[in-house]
This record gives sequence, C-alpha cells and structure tokens, in this order.
Amino acid sequence: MDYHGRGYDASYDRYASRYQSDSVGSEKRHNGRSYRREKRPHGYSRRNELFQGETYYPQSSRLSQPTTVESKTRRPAPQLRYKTARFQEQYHYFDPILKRLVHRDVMKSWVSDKLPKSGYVIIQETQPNGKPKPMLKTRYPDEKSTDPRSNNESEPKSTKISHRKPRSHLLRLPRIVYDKHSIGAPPPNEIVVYPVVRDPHNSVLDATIKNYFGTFGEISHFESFNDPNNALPLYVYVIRFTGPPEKLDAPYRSAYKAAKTFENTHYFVSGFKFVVVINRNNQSRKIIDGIIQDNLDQAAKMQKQAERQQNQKPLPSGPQPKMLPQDLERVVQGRPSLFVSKKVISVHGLAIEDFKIKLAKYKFSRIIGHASGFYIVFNDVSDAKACMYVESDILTINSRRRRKPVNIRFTLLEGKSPLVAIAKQETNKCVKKEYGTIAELIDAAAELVIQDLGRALERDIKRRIVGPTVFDALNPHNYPEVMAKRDEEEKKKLELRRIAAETKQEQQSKSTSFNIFNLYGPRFKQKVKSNGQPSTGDHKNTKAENGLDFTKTTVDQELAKPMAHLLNENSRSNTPSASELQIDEDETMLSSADEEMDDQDEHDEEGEQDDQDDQEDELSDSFEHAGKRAKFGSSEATTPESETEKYVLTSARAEEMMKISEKYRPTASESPTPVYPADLLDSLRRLSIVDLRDAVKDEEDFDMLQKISNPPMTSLSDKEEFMISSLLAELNLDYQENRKVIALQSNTNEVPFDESLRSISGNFKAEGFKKVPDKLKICYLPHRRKLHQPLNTVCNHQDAAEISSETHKLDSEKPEADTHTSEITSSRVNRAINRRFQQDIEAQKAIIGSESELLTLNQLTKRKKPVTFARSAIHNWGLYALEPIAAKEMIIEYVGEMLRQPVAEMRERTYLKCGIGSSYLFRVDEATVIDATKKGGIARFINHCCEPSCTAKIIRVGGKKRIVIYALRDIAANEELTYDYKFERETDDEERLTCLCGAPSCKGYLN
Amino acid sequence: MAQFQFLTTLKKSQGSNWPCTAAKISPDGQNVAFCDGTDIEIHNINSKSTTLIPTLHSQASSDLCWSPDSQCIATASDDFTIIITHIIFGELYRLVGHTAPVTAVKFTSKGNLLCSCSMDESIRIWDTLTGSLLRTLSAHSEPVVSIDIPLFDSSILSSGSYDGLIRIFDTATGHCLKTLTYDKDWQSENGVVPISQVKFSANGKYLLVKSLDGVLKIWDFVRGKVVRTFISGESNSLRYSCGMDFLYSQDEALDPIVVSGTENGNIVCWDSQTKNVVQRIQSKHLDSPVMDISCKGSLMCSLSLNGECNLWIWVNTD
Repeated sequence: MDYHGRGYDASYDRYASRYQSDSVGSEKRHNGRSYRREKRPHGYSRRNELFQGETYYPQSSRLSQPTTVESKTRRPAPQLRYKTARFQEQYHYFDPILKRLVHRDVMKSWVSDKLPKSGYVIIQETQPNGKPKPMLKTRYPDEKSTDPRSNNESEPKSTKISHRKPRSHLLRLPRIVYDKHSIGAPPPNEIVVYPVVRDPHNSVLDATIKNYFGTFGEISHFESFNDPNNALPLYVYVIRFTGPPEKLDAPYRSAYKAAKTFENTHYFVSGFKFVVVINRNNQSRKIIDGIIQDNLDQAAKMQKQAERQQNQKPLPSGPQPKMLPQDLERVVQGRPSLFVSKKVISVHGLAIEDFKIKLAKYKFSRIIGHASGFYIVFNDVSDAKACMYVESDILTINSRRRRKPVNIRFTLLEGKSPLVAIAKQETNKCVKKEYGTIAELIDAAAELVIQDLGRALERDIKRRIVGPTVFDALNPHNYPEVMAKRDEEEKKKLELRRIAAETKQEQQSKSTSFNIFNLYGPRFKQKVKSNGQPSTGDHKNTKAENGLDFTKTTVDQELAKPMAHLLNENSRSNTPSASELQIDEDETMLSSADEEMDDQDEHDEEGEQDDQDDQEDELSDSFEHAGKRAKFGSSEATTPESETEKYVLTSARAEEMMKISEKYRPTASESPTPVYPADLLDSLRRLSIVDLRDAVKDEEDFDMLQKISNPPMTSLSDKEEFMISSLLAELNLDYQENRKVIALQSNTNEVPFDESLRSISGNFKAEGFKKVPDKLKICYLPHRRKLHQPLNTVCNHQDAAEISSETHKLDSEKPEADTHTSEITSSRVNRAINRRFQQDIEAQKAIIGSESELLTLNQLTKRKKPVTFARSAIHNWGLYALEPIAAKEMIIEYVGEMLRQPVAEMRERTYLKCGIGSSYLFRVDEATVIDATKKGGIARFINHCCEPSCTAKIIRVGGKKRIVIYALRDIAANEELTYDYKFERETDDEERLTCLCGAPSCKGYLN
Repeated sequence: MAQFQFLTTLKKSQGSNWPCTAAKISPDGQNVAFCDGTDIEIHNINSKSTTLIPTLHSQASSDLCWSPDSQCIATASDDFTIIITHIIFGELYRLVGHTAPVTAVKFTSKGNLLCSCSMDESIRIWDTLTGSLLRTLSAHSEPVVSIDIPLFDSSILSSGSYDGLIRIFDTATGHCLKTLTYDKDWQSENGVVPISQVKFSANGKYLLVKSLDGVLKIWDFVRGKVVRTFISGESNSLRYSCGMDFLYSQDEALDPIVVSGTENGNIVCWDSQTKNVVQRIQSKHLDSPVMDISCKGSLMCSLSLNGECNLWIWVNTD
C-alpha cells in the first residue's frame, strides 16, 4: 500500500505538473508541497482519468479519444512463435520463458558435410532445357587456370570479308569542348602579342592593344613587359581572356579566335607588326627572354660600334655622360642632379609629385620637368650620390598606366658651376688649337706667361702703390676743418650730457622709491653692457668728474669706426695696447687739428687709462651680475610654475604651455610674482649718458642741444636748464609722434579712417554705443580689404613671419606655371584614385547587400578637401581652401539638419527673432531644407559671391539628396571659397540684402 | 548696516573739452588716475596733490589701467595706440598695432603682459617688457569694449563685445575657452544686447557682466550659467557703458557688493548674495552718466562723463 501510494504520488506529480504547465491561463503555480497537500483528493480523481487515457493528451484531444484501454493496460503473455515441434526438435534456441538455451548440447553446424573442403564456386550451368541452374563447382586452388579465350581458338574464324574500303586518311575526331565534365587542365586562354617589326620612333599605348583585343572577348588580365635592363617597354603583351562562368570554354574560344585571326597575317598598329599566338607552355616567357636577349645583343653591338667610333675619335674620353639640356643650365646652376628618362615617365605617366613623395627623405632642392625627362636637382653632390646609390633601380613607383610598380633608374649628372663649364669649354678650345710650327707654340706659351706676369703686376700695384695712397688720402690729418667741426660738436654734446647726468642724479636722489628699471630694465642693461660702460653709482661720480675724457673715447671709437678696417684698428678691444694705440692716433689727429685741444688731450691721457682699467673691472662685475641673475631667474621663475603645472595642467595643456617661453607663461598664485627679481636690477636704475645720446637722432635735435649747451641766460640753474631742454625735446617728439601716428593710421588701414567713425565727443567710450554699419567696417578691418585673404583667428606673429618667409622662399624657387600644372594633374590623379576607391566601396556594398550608412558617408568625406574657416572680407566668417583645388573637384558637403519645409519656415522665424541674422538654411527641393544653424558642418561658412569660385550641386547618394560644393575653377591655396546663393529676387527693397562680395560683376544685392 | 559715505570730490566738472571716461584707483590705493583727454591726471588720495602727465597720444584716451606695481599706466587711445607711461619717468612704450580706436586695456597680475581690445574687433596681447605684440585674438564681430583678467590668475582673459558675446580666452594659447551667451538673452526686439563691461570677481570664479540693457549678471563662467541677475530698472537700451565693480568690504563675513553706475548719474549697490539693493546714491553726478567706477579696499571712486569725480568710503553706519 505504501509502495503504491508513493508510486501514485509520483505519477500524479508528474502529470499534474505537466497539466499545470500546459493548461492555458491556469492558476498560479504553487509551491509543490503545499499544492500536493491541498489537491490530493482532486489528484486522485485526475489519476483515474489519466489511467483511462493511458497517455496524457491536451484536454481537447483527450475528450475526442474514446477509451479502449483494457487490453493495453495488461502486458500480453509472451508467445513463442517457434513453439512448434519441428523447431523444438531441430534447432537450438533461447527460450525466453525458461530462460535457457534449448538443445544446447545437440547444436549442429548449418553447413552440410557434402561441401568440398577446398572451397567451391556456384556457377550457372545451362541445363538442356535452356534454363540455368546453379551448380556447385569445386575449386581446386592448386590447379592453374587457363585463358578462357584459348577455348575460342578452336572455333572456326568468320570468313566474312568486309566490304568497307580502307580509309585514305585518319578519322577526323570531333573537337572536344571543354566543359564542366572535362578533366585535366583547361585549354590555354592566353594570347601573346609580340612585335616582329618595331618602329623605333613610335610607341604603342597599352590601351590600344587592350582595346583591340577586347573585341575578341572579355579580358581578365593584361600585362605588358619592360626590358629589365633599361626599363623600356618590350611591347610584349600577355592577354588572358575570361568569360561567363557557365561557358567554360569561352576564354579559350576568344583566345583561339584572336590567334586564328592573325594566324597568317600580322596585327599592324602605328608602325608595329605584331604576331599573335596562343600562350602555350609559357611561350610568353620564351618570347620575352628572346627579345630581351636580342636587345642585349643589339646594345652590345651598338656599344662595340660606339667603342670603335671612340677609337677612331680619341678626343671624348669614355662614354659621354648625359649632359644637362642647355635651357636648364640656368635653373640648375651647376648643381648636381639626377636624371630620370622621359621614356619611363611617359610610359608610366609618372608625375613630379610621385618623385617628391618617394624622395622626401633626400635633400633635393627641386624637381624640374623637362622635355627630356625629370631632373632632380640637389644642392650637394653627396646628397645626390647617396640618393643615386640607394635608390637607382631600387626605387619603385606605381605606374599610373599599368598598375604595377616600376623600377626607376637615375642617371647622375655631376654638377659643375657654369663658370667651370665655360672654362672647360675654353680649355677645350685651347686643346683643339693646333700649332703648326715650334715658333708658334713658343709664341703662344710666351703670351700665356706674359698674361700671368701682367696679372701679378696688377696685383702688386694694387697692393703696394694704390693701397697706401688711398690710406694716406683718408688720413684725418689732411682734413683739419672737418676735424675741428667735429670736435666742436663733440664738446657741445658732452656738455649737454654732463648737465643731463647731473639733473638725473638729483632727481634720483629725490625719488628713489620709484624704480622704473625694476620692471623695464633689461633693455637698458644690455645697452650698457654692449657699450662697455660702467654702471655702478660710484663710478658714475668719477665719470661725471672727468666725464669729458671718458666720453671722448667713446666718441673717438665711433669716429674711428668707418675707417677702422683701413687703419687696422680694433675699435672694441679693451686690451691696453690697442687702446693706447688708438689714443696715440687720436692725439696726433687732434694735434694737427687744434693745438689747444692737443694740450688738453695730453692732460687727460693718464686719467683715460685709469678709466680703461676701471672699465674692465666693471665689465667683469657686470658679467658676474648677469650670471647671478640668470641663476636667480631660472630658480625663482620655474619653481612655482612647475608646481602649478603639476596640479593644474593636464598633460596636453602642459605640452602646449611648454611651447610658450617661460616669461609669458601664466601663473596662478596668491599674489603677483615679478618675473625679474627686483634687487638685481638696482644697479641699473640710473639713466646712463648713452641713453641720452641715443635720444638725439637728427640735426634738429642737435641744434636744440646746441642751443642748450650755449645758453644765453647763464643765470639758470642746472635743473631749470634740464627742464627747458626736456620740454624742447618733448615738443619735438610730440610733433614727430603725431606725424608718425597719422602716417601709421593711414598706413595700417590703407584707407583713411572714416570721419563718421571718429568720436565726436572725444573718445570711443564717451561716444557710447553706436552701431557700426557693415560698409564702414572696411576702413578699419584690414582683412576686409584683402579680399580672399584669410586672417588667422589665432596667430602667433613670429610664426606667421616664419611661414611667410618660408613660403616666399619656396615660391621664388619654383616657376609659377610649373607648380600650377603639376598640382592640377595630381588632383586629377587623386580623383581617379578616389573613383577607384568609390568603386571598391560599391563592390563592398554589393557584397554586404544592404545600404550601409557608414559607406555612403565615407564616399563624401573621402573626397573632401582640406578647408578652414577664418574671418572673411565678405561677411563675418568665410571658408578658405588650405590647398590648391582643381576645377570640378568636390570640396565639401553642406551638412546640417534635414527639415521639412514648414519646420524650416518656423525655424527661420525663430532665428530671426533670436537675432541670428545669418541664414544657414539651404533648400534641397520643394519639400526639404537643410539647416546648419545649430548643427552643421563648416560648409555653412561659405559666403556668397556674384563671381563664385564654387557651386553647390544636389546629388543623390544612396537615395538621399545631399548638397555638395564643387569647385567651378581652379582655386589657389588660402583663397576664399564662395558660391552663388541664388536667392530668390526680393521685390521689397527693404528686405533686400546688400552684397559685399566685391567682385567686379557684383549685382549689389543677394536677393 | 554698511553703506557708502561721501569722502571727497577729487575733481569738479569744469565743462572741459574732453569727456572723462576712466578713473582708476591704483593697486596700492594711494592714487587715482583719470583720463583727461590725451593727458593722465593723477590725484594722490592722501596728500590731495595732483600731477598731470602728458602723453603722446594725438587723440583722447578711452581707458587706462594701472600696472600691478602702481608705477605705470597704460592708456588706450582713439589714435589706435596704447602708451605705457611711467608716472615718474614718462613714456615707456607706444604699442602700435590696432587698426581702430582702442577701447580698453588691462595688465596681467604679473605686469608682464598687457591686453588690449579695440573697435577693430580684435584683442591683442602685448609684452610689456619689450613692447612687442604677442598675439592677436579676433573672435568677435563687433567692437570689443571690455576685457578683464582675474586678479591672481593671468591664464584667462574675458572679453565683452557689442556683438553680445562674452568670451573667455586662454592667454597662453589664445584659444577661446568659453563663449557665454544664451538664447534668452537674444530674445530682444533689436536682436543682440551689446555687452558693455566685464569684470572678474576677486576669487576668479565669477564674472560680472553688464550689458547695454542695464542688466548686470554674475556668471559662473566655468559652468556657463548665470547665478545672479541685477536689474537697475532703467531704460532698456542704454548708450553709455556705465561703470561697475565689485566692492569687497574689510569684514570677511559680509558679502561683496556690486556697485554699478547708471546713465542718469545714480550709483546703485547690491548685495551680491541676496540681490537686495543696499544703497542707491542719487543726485551726486548731476544726471551725467557714471562712466567708471573703481573700488579698492573700502574706497570707491566714481567718475561721470562731465568730469566730476567723487571718492566714497564704505563704512559701517551702525
């Protein structure tokens, strides 16, 4: 009972759960245990049902199934089919009821004893009644069998004589078509086209051949061969045909047809006679090798011939190196160059750019395209040679015509300076000259000797006679008046300086707290240093005392300068001997000029020497100062900054910062830190006399100084004198400055500043807000006037200068036309490459089978040109080409949000309301508008121009309309890109927008 | 309760030919400098002495700026140039490069750089040591009228222009870091509201901006959000860029005060935290627009277009 109950339970559970899960929309499943406890009574009834149904069916099906189950529920008693007497007697078997083998002991073999021991074969013996009967035939393995055909020999041969005539020739076999059932290699599908007669002056384009043989069938592979020795085309072509995959023999048929057509004739094209054969057993290789061998033989023959000629003509030694064409000599200017043959270039359609790219690592100065080929000009022979040895025959450039790399061979043309070349020509001429008699030869030699002597004489005269006389003529002793005048001037100057120095000292003693040179000192320091002037206060006093002498030396130095090279003076040397020499000379000069002065000079000579010594001391001092300053500067300035960099700056920013010189780097510190430590510059705070001297620049200043130095009113104190002088100087400066400013204003602007823009009430701020009309902006925005010239938004002035100088250099090196054409060709090639790329993409798309957004995007972005935006002369911002762009080239896509017409109208209104005056809405068609106002590419910056350089085209890419800007004409680098907005004509004059494009044919209005 | 007390009149309006647009208290708080046409007038606050420094400008200057050591003054003139003048030794440099009247100048806290902005829509950065031009930033499309550099951080620079944009630049690289504007600002009848003044707070975190609709805003320029708005309740479209400044009272606990001049000669002070009007000074400047306000310590100097310059002190009245 217990067992059964459990069994039921289990079965019930199983069924219940199945039921549960299968019944549709049944009650929530419960925890198994609780469910069982609750539903047990019900479960029993269910069990009965189940027993009726035997297996579980879904409810519906169970209902339809009547219950005929009784027999199936009980397993039937096992029946033994072979429970017959015959079986039981005869056979042994396994009795499942008894569970044992019956007749186990009497088991017998099935095989009868009658069967032959050595094996047997059952053969069909034909019985007399004609029916075959299987017979058992004993095998006798020891017996050797006989050829069954030997039996036939006994039979009599047929005596029938054939009435057929013997064949006169072999039977013609039908051509077996190569199909999918064929085995073995496919029939040859290539043809070789090779020349038997070549026109040396002509060439055949690969395309010609390809096109012609394309008529026989679809070409899958086309190859042309070059002579490996000289890279010249051999005009041997291997053409492989192909066909549709279902017609396997189509390629062969094409090849056969082609070969058959020219079986007995030749294929003639532009002076060439070609043989066309089927390429069997790699015949092409043999043909090519043969032709190459022929060429080699020919070349050898030619060389022999040339050698023979050379032997006849001994003058030119060795094989003549290729010469530069005459017309290039001026451009090359005797520099070494590598030559690339025209043939290679023309055959493969190579461009200068290819070489430029490939040879970028070499220091060539330029590449010149010439009728005879390319000349790669180097500045240095070693560079040229290096390039030659490394790259000749090794450099490969992809052929533009044949899609395969081509080895480039260079020929080195040793540069010679034009002068040398001319000299060489001359010497050649000399050599050529023949002298009939000995006397003539002697004469010629004598002439040469005389020429040499004459030259030597000339040199001697220059050196020994003319030189000294010129020196004498320049001797200042000869011009006493001039010297006297100069002395006077000096005196005046000195006096003035003395006064200035004194007043300065006074002033400084009064106001030491204001220290100008703490911040702005280094300039002065440098000056002082360069002049070798003392700079401490102590010395200043001594200088003031005997300032006359001291300054005289400086002035003398100045005076001596123009003639210094003649008089062998070192004006800046501080060695006592040199200075003494100088002093001596000064003394003599002065003595001849003025005797009174002479006295004074003698008087002061000793003091001067002292000064000189002092000067040296001071110099060393100041150098020490400088060293100290450098040390201080570096330590003080860097430490706080490095800290800030550590914490504040990200690595990228830090890098950017590092580019900026330390002086200008910003710091974030609690209080402003001075860049230059103040105390070190203290010694420089006083104005030296040099500064005052520098202030005097022209006659006018000088006159003024003269007046001051000879003041009519002697009663004035020094300070008053200084005041007067400074006032005078200031007035003069004022006047000059004003003139300068006015000149500058018109200079920087090129156009006079519009009067209406000038502030009536005084200054800009006092004028208050005033809207500047766009038209007037031209008079103060320089970029407005330089039409189509970009203005860098952020420009580093030094960098800009460098770049401009560089570009200038480049420009000057290249002839204008040359660059232009080459760039355009290159862009055309680019387009071809892009097109290929596009085809690839399309192929890719075909494989993928669906429109991929990524791929369509790539198509347009791939062809995009490098452009940038900057302030424009036409309107706020403009788009500029960074590279030259060829006509019809795609430039950029106009990217923005795609809107429906009503949305666009609404947006236009809101933008106007918000004050976004510029419209970036671009109509694609009646229904759609592209809005680049908030989200869009930089193409939106392109301005309108009545004479545009570009045009906007609406093209379909992957089923979507897109706006793409194309170049209308060739556009130079840095030129502003413009297109015609093609606005609808506005009837209301108020609504019309003025056009500022500045084109000659400007319509004046956008709409 | 603290408020401004009238201290003295530094300069009376004399109906001179030249309008006065700039008056600045020197960083050491000793002097006040005015632009008087082409000249610079310096008043010593303590000794009440006046010095007149002539400059070589051929036209009146709009703005001036003290160098951080209070030794030099840079003046921005209508003759397109900037002159750095030492108050003792006279002219140091004339910075030439702008192609239109220069509207404002500002030294960096180190004193080694000078930034200037001009009607020619550009901002230029000069090296004061050599007088050379380092950078030109052209990123506005209307005259740039105001620039400012935070007190202790010379790495950024803010500019305000009549094109309604406030831009923050990196002085080192010249890149525009941030443009402060928002659409709500643009919803004016006349389109864009021109910016007239920008001023960094002392901690360099906020930017006080005054626009020509008479509204002052404190921007958190890092997040690009307006944190306070002060409306003086005057006319909507002003003409003059009236002065404004932050005043930091000596008492740390008190909030900074925003002081702003108006076109009809009033000075309004707000508590920058609560936005309450702390004080409204009226009828002192004779209805002449208050062109410049400069605060230093507890001192405030106000200058009106007619040349009257008053000095105020912020005192606790309790």
